[in-house]
Amino acid sequence: MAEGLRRGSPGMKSIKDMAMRQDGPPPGGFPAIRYGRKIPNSGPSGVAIFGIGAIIMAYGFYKVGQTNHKRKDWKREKLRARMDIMPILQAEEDIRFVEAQKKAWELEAKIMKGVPDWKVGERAYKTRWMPPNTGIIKPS
Amino acid sequence: MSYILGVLLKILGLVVPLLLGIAFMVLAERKVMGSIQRRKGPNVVGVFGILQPIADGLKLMVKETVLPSNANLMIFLAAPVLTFMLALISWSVIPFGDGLVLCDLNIGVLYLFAVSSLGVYGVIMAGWSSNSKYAFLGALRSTAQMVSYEVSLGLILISTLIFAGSLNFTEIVESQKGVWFAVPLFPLFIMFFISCLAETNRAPFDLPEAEAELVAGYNVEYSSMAFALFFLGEYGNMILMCTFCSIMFLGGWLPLVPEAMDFMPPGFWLGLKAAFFLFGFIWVRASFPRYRYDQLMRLGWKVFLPLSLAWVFFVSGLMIGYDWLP
Repeated sequence: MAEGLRRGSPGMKSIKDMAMRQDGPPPGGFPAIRYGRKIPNSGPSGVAIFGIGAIIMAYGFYKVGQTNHKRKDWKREKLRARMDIMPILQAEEDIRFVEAQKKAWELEAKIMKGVPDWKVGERAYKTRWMPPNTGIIKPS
Repeated sequence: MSYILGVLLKILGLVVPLLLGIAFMVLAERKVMGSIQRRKGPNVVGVFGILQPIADGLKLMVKETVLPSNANLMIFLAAPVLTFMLALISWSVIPFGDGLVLCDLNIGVLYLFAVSSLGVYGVIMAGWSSNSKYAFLGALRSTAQMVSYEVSLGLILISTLIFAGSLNFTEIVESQKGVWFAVPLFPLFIMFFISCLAETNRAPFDLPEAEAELVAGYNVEYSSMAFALFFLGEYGNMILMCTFCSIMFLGGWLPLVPEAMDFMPPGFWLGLKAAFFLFGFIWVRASFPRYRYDQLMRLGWKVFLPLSLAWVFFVSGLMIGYDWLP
């Protein structure tokens, strides 16, 4: 049969001479093929999605603002508490300072005992003594 | 002495799980990408291929380090070490819970940014010292990309910093107790994630390692442990960026439902959120084709930069207008 199909072969003058006919289109041709993408046009519209998104974001902004207000209040409260106990903190610091200075002077006397007319605790600067203000008001 | 020992133990406690995490991240990536592409992924070494990263690491360690004869050796060897080191030291400011942090810097965000900017040097040193045109071109691309996206990354962060009023990571997380910053800043959150992809040179922005044109980017000439250090640094940066993203936008260690889920440890929540982003990284890699270089630059400079700048104005205007500043 393959020989019968060859072009110009003797014996076959028309397609109808073929032993078996090839498939052809149905009468009137095939229906048109839909080749465009089928994207469903359902669900919320773009405007709706945008609107809902904007509402959620606005709520988020509001909530952040509220949280920040609360944080500010907590910070203020902490600061007030720290300021209220400031005298106690300062007194404790003074005790620590006096003890530390006593120790430092003792050490100085021990180190400098070989030096004649050395005055322990004397400073090169002639300034008035100020209480060391080491209390931290800023909350950590 | 005991103090130094304690600090060293703390650092080890941070670095060892991190390196293990990087190793298994590689396995997770191959497994997830396999599932997305309907393959099995590694399944030969150990049960479900669970020992694959260890086998890979061992292979890289025992191989010979090939040193190109025309390379600038000092810089060539310093580059992977620098990349790896920078990827590790940025973890020192990441809080895993309230107080669970190596060093609670009050300028933590700035520190993290500075360190991740220095990462560019590792790349450019590697590319230049290799004395190979592929490595050099790859390094130039990579550097330009990282520098470009750092700008938008920084501008996006400014909005969150206005919300939190602090550069301290712990305080940033604490300020998200009301609502996670991803809710009011959703568009910025998406932009931040995309910028993170570009910053870590991940798909679809993995131009630097364009296999077809540049063989593998700036690390063509590297082999064995030197390559492994680059690899570890890259994946370490990826996990870092994901953690950064979850701290800035998804409330760090805060639980999903504030009071009902407090029984879980805070580190679990941070890990879960970071893993969510890491999965996103892999998902994006498996789904999207690579960007063209000019498209990448356009996205960074002409889309993200103006958009994030506009958001800074919008957010600061709103916060001042309604007196919502912290």
